[in-house]
Formats: sequence, structure tokens, C-alpha cells
Amino acid sequence: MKNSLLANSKKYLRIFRLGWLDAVEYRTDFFMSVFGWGIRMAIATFLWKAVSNGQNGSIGSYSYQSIMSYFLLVQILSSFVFSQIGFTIVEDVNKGEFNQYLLKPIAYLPFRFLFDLSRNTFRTLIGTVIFGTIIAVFYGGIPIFASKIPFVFASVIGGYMINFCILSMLGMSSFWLENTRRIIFIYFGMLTIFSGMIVPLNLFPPLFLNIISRLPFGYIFFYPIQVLQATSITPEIISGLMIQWAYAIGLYSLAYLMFRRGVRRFEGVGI
Amino acid sequence: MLIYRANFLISLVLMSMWVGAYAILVEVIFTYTKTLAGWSKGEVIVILAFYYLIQNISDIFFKDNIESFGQAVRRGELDFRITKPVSLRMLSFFWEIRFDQLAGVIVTGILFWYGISHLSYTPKMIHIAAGLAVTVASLIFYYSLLVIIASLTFWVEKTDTFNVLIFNMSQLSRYPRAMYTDIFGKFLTFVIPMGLMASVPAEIALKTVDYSWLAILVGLSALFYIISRVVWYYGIQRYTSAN
Repeated sequence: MKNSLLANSKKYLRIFRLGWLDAVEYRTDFFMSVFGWGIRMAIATFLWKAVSNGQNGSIGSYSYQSIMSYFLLVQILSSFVFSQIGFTIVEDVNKGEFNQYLLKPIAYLPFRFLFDLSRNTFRTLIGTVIFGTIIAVFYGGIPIFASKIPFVFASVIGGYMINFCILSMLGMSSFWLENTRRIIFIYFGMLTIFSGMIVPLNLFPPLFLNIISRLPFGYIFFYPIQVLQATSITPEIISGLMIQWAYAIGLYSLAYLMFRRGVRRFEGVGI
Repeated sequence: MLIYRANFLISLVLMSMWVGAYAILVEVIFTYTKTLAGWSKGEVIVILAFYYLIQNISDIFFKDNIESFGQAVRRGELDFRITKPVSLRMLSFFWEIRFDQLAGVIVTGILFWYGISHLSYTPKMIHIAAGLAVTVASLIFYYSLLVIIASLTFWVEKTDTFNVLIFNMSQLSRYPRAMYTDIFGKFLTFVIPMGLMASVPAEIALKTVDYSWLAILVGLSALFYIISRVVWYYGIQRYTSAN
């Protein structure tokens, strides 16, 4: 039992390492995408500067400094959260690559989860260095205290899990449907609006905010950034974490069930 | 388009999501301010509509073709095209017309209507028509920029990341050009005129026509077109058949 556990953990540690090596190997692509981040940040800088200029330097409950810090944190988080997992699963199923995973002594979803997580960890470390420095130097940094650290880690990983599970399910719909790539793009559109990526959710009118705060999307970007920017651990942060992890566990269970049903429908050729 | 109705409907939903996202952003911004770099809410939405119109037309006619050109070269598909008795450039970059992307034009049309209905004045039809005509210059610029990047495939193996970069840069034209100040603003006006791409047609449609900006946009579009032809010419000479 103990040996089996050890062998399993070694196996998944190796998968984590493979994902890391993959990220390092394709670092040129990553560094090019950093330019893309730079352009998005330039847009945010000029846009919110223009808005705050008309509002004596503030936008709702945000100062210009804090809103810029918010968007820089979005950049760091997106390097961690954003995943190609939906497209990867579609490719695996449609091109028959899925066969090889059925024959190997590894669980497909944890394999993809760890591979993706380790690849994103590399990107996040670099993103944190670049954007963290900008936040610290130009936008007054973010409050850091010991009791906040577990909440930060839990909320960021929770956000990652929610996004991963939704994308996995969309990818796994290719067990039933022929072309699901565009459905994934529709999800990205929804994520852009409802997760707080392009505008902090608490700037929305109250009625709209009330509706979108009940959806899981806000727990992918907006909630972790609320935790990162918090000056103290409030009851809202604690209840938010509970809701976020309830979503994460619920979605993972759904993804697992979908996977089990999907595998039964899968027809491997040339196994 | 009528055969692939599902594709058309998905394009409609997809485009609505993206356009909706940025229209909502504009709505939120204007709950906190009355103007953005001197532009009212309706005017900013019209700029957004011009931006999407340019994207829609490029999506229908050439964007996917140009972006997949590098792949066609790597896979040796260019050999098949080079033997045809038509211009290789035209054949490669207008190979497939994406009629399903017409859905985007419908959504953009709704965005135009929404923007114009929020103006405090009624723009003249002749000005709107002139603004739409000027988007041709913007499209030539955008087409030329994409062709320059695609032609680089004759020197460097993969240009995919450059395409992503250009797409990111094109997003700068979603907002009024007056928003971009200092060196960045000058760069977006005179070096890579992304700042002018949607703003100038919108200015012509809605505001007093400043012919100097029109001249700059047309001039730079012509310059980029010439550069794209030169880069293509030298690039194709480097091409060696894959078969």
C-alpha cells in the first residue's frame, strides 16, 4: 500500500517535471506572449488613466493606483489560470491520441491537470517577477501579512481548478459532439465578461453584480484578486473561499463523471 | 452559409459574446465618467463598431488565409498553388472566403445602431458613408501588416506568435486615439498606425473632418502596402519547393 502510494507520487512528480520542461522548451512563445501582456497593460493604463482623469483620480471604490494594480494582478493570474486543456482534450479525442492514455498506468485527468499546472507555474513565476515588480515600484504594492498567505494560495488554486474543470468538460464534450472548439471560444467570451478580467466586478451596477456574483466565473479572477488586495481577512473573504471551493469540488466531480461516461463512448482505432 | 447553419449560429453567439464584453466595458466606464478622451459613450461605441467592422471584413476575406500561410509553406501546399495560372499572392491570401463570419457583420451592425442611438446628435448619412469608405484604407493597412508578417515565414520557420502579437496590437484601435498620449501615441499614429485604424473612420463619420489625419492614414496604408509587396517579392524568391 505504502509502496504503491510512493510509486504513484513519483509518477505524478515526473509528470509535473515534464510540464515544467515543456514550458521551458517553448519559452520563446511565452516571451512573445509577454509582449501581448504588455500591450494589454498599455491599453489598461491609458484607458483607466483617461477614466480617472474625469473623476478626480478615482473610479468607484478604486483609485487609479489600485485599479492598475488590479489589472497587473489579472496578468499574473491569467498566466497561472489560462489553460489550453479544453483544446488539448479535443485534439486527444478527435485525433485518437487518447488511445495511448488508456493503455498507460496513469489517470488521464490528473495527468493533464498536473502537466498543465506545472507548465503554468513556470509562466506564473516569470509573470510574478515582471508584474510584481511593476506593482511594487509604480503602484504601491499589495498588503502582505502572514494570515493572508494561505487564503491567497487557496483562492488562486481554487480559481485555477474552476477554470480547468469547466474547460475539461467543454473539451470532453467532444466524446459526444463533433466540433467543440468554438464552444470553448464562447466560454472564453463569457469568462472575459463575467470573471473580472476586463473590468472589476464591483464596478458593475448592483443588479448585474448580484446576478454575476452567483456564477462561478467571478471566483476565477475577481475573487482571488480581492484576496490579494485585501488589507485584512474579512468574513466575506472566508465565505468567498468556501463558495469557491464548493464550486471547484462540485465541478471536479462533474468532470470526473463526464470523463467516465465519455470513455465508454470513445471508440479507439488501432489499439 | 445556409448549408452550415450551425456554424453560422455559433459564429453569431461567439461574436455577440466578444462584442457584448467590450460594449459592457464601455457601459461600465461611462457610469463613472461622461467623456473618454473627449468622446461620448455613443461615439466610443461607434469607434468600437468600426473596429469590429474591420475585424469582420478581414475575418471573412483574408485573416485566416494569411495567418495559415506559414503552415501552407511548411507543409508544401504552396507548390500546388504556385502552378495555378493566377496571382499566387491573391490565391494564397483569399483562398477561402469565410461566409459564416458574416454573423459578425450582423452583430457589428447592431452595435453601430446602438452607438448612433446614444448620440446626442444625428450624424449625416453622407458622413457615415464617408467613414465606411475610409475603412477601406484601414483594411489595406491591416491586410498589408498581416502579409508582411506572413511573408516572414520565408526567413523564419514559425510566425504564429507574431500573428498573436498583431492581434493584440489591433486591440489598441478599439478606443479613441486621443487616449494614447506621449511617445506611445505617436508610435500608434506614425509608426504602426493602429491608433488611426478605427478612430479616423469614426471621426469622419461623426466629427468635423480633419483631412490631415485622413491623409496620414491613407499615406501610411499605401506605404505599408508597398512594403508588403517588396517583402513578399524577396520572400518568394527564397522559397524552395517542398516536393
